[in-house]
Amino acid sequence: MMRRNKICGILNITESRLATYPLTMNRPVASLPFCSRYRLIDFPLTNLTTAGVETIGIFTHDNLRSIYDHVRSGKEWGLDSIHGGLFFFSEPSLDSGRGNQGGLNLEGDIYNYFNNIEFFEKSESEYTVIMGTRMLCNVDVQAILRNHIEQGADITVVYKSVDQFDDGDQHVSCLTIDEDGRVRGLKSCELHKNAGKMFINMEIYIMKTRLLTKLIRNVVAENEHCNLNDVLHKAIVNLPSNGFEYTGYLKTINSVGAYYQANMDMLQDSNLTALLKGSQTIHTKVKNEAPTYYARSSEVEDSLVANGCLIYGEVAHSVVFRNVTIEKNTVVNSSVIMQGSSIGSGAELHYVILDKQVRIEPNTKLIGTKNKPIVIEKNSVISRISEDSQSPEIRTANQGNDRENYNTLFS
Amino acid sequence: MIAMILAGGQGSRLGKLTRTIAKPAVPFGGKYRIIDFSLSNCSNSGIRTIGVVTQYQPLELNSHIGNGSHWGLDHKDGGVTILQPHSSLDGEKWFEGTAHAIYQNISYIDSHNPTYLLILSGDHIYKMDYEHMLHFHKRKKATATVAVIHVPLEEASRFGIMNTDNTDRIIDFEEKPAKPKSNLASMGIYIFTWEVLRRYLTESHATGQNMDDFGKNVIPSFLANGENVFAYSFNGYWKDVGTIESLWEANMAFINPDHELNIRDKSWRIYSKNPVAPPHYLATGAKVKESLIVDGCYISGEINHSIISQNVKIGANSVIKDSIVMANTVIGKNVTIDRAIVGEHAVFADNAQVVGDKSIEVVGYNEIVGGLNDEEE
Repeated sequence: MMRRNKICGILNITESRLATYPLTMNRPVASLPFCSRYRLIDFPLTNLTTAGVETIGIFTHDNLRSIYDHVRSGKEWGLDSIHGGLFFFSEPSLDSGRGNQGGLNLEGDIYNYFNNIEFFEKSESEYTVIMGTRMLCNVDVQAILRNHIEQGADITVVYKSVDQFDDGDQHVSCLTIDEDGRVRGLKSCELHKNAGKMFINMEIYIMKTRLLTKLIRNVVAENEHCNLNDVLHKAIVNLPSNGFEYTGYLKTINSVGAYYQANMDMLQDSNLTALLKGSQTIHTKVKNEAPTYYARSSEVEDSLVANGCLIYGEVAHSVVFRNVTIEKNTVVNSSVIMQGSSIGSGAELHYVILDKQVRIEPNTKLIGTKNKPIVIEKNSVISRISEDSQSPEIRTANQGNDRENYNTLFS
Repeated sequence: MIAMILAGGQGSRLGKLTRTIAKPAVPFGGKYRIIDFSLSNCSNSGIRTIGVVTQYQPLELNSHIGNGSHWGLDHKDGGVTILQPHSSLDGEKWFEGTAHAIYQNISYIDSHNPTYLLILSGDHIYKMDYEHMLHFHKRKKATATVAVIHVPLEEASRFGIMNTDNTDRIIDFEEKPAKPKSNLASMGIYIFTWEVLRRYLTESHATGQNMDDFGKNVIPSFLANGENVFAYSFNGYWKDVGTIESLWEANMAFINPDHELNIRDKSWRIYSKNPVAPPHYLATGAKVKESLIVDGCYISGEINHSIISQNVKIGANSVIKDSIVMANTVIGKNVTIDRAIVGEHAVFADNAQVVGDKSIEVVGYNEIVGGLNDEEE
């Protein structure tokens, strides 16, 4: 049990979309679809609400449409109550082309926080927890808060200790932590096989709300243009800060490869259990789909499949989202097939990510590699034009922006 | 128009499946409960006020329906109200029959002051636009309209049979006739002009006349008094899953993606309470053919022409054939289940066998099969 309103939550989703292009060309990282039926934002939202956080501010400079469409009133997370609720703070940044406002150069997201500082003050919460969506994990916010209070530090930052890492090329920020758990430093580093033991900064912070507003005011007073994360990176080094070790599943979604790998990881029961079947049920927007139908001709192994699909073909080692149709004589292997896509008969897909509502025409062959899966953009129609050409010709008919907007709006 | 769903029926012919829950709460099709069809039809027909009359074992039903939000029925005016029998100064008010249940809830209906009242039973599988029926009721200037469906003549004696003239006016009604004159069977769906039905119910109560049942008392009494009673013909799929066999058959037919019910039709969705679960996982070695599988399952065996509901675990080398496995059941290794209905939260120890032959085997809710009695123990 927790006193009402003890913590307020911040979802800092001003995360750069560039790293996961083209998947994030038209959506923020937070609304990346994941594991057949989730979006990345479901994880922090569930972690916060399970811990009893009733007031959550979502800060972004992106277009909020896909987030808003998914989250709505926050009902699925129990946020549509008379207490607290969800608050959206969206301010355009320079790179979205609508920069200068009130004479301030809005480089970085710090002004979005500063201009809405009333939110923290009004919430009257003693503590604030800050999370993002790029770090895919399932944390116990209550445990972090307990640890924060026990340790008596100004800031607690969550990290994961890794010593074996086989995906390579992941740029993350790592903490230097001494034996009693105090944060001593922070550096940007690259994870690879022989990197040795590292403490990945998961960009999850707890501190007194008063301290957070002070940090924001100070940096604005000095007329600095930066991101909240930069401010926090400095603060955990300069102020007495405590590291909280997380031991569950973690994946940094900072490349298409990492996104693909995270989905494939879920085919392993230990990962799926750690992330999705643990003590916290991850909530997401509920859709009323029929059960998935497997035809006599289907052959499906080692795959995760959501409701609402019709499967007539062969699927192996793949993650299939809702409302996907896979026709007869198809082979889908080691692929991620997002919601509403359809795969025509005789098609063959290996190491492919199909974004939402992609149509693969019959007999099309798409073969990527484990490290470089082929990504097909949302609403594309892909066909193999001539039967005898060695490499399939890919004709992408992106059905224009209006269609795109329409689909996001009503999907 | 407001709707009253009569969901108090025990459904005793469903045996173990209705021992602890009311028939409308019995699971159907992998992720639905029978009452979802009536509730979704109401929601899709634009009916905003619904009273659900419960009596027998209402706990599961009440928690399923909640505030109706899963069907989009949590309106700020109206919404879903669960109506249970209660005691008052006049004594206890157990519902003696379908019409009696309406009589006992007159004050609820009056509080919404409807012109028309739609009466539904909560235990049929079908999709129907009640607005069409209301248009028909108005066009015919009826005071009562009964939805009817053509049944095979040889089965007609199991139903309430309507005889109509060429304007669809009902001239005669027989409950389960030995020699049916027509094959128009009542679906247990009625639209009444509320003012008229209200008068019949209150006056008969005052005079001590029996008016407990719509089929047996109310409709015959309307006909005897020359009221305009019409039959509204329905042509779609409609199934009363009143017995174990019919429940099993309806489920087996439901597997077919070309089923007449067209469950994947986005313009008339069937809604249900959807607990959140991860996607289902088909392990290496799983063989799933001609089956429906729902979220949250872990499947490692062989599934043939079956329905597997939410969060079911099926171990390696188990074979499930022509069966329905309800939610949260755990099935071990080398289990055989054939021609059976398995209730929610059942547990099958390794090597257990449940095989129906002529009749369908039923494993009750929370039942444990195999294990201690196993020969290997």
